[in-house]
Amino acid sequence: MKYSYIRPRKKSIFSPELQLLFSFFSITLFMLLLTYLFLVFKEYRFSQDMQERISQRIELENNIAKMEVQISFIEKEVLLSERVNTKNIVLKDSIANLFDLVPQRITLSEATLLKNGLILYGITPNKDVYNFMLQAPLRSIFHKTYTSFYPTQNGWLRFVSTNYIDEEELALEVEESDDEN
Amino acid sequence: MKINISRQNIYLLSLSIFLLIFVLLFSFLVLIPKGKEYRESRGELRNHSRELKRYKNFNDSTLQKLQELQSENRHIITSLDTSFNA
Repeated sequence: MKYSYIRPRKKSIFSPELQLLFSFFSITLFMLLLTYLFLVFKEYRFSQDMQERISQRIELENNIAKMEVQISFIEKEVLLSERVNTKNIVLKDSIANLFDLVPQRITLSEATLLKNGLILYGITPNKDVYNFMLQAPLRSIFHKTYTSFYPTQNGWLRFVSTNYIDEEELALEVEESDDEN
Repeated sequence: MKINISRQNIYLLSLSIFLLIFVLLFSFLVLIPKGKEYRESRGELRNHSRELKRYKNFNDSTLQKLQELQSENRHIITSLDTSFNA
């Protein structure tokens, strides 16, 4: 027996309202989850970047320390070279002065520069030439002067002159000159 | 006054309330703290980047100074590195 003229419509559990509700909430949940994943990923990237920056900073610190050591070493080398250069100039001047001291009639065969003295080896025609022309200027410079003569076959004399500066006397002289000034 | 709500509508309403509560809880308990952490990490990373940049600048200036010293005193460095043959 039929009670209706139309055919019964099919009933489903997913009604249009439920579908609408599910679609709305699924979109919302998807967006929330996406935001959460974005935050997690970004935080992971931040931590990785931070580690990388820390390691780079440590590397730079070591590099800077090494370069500073190199810089100080070069500065010390420059100072040393300046000192050596000054000593060389002083030595050059003293050698030039020494050769200016020696008169033309006396021939030097060897000269040894000591820290506080000078040893000269050479040939002189006679003692007087040596005493007047070389020993006098040497005495004015050095505090102690010793000379030995040896005759050669041609009648000239071979001499060894050892001259020393007394450092205590030199200090006294320097003090006196300072007082006068 | 009698309110007529069908059983289906009650189910629908309860489900939507449940989902809404879930969304709110998820947002307040998970997303917002995570967002704060993200902002703090970003600020910390920015500080580290700034510090790293400062170190890089200092490294560059030190390197430049070293290179200038090396080029200016090349002869001294070479002569002191070479062994002296008397």
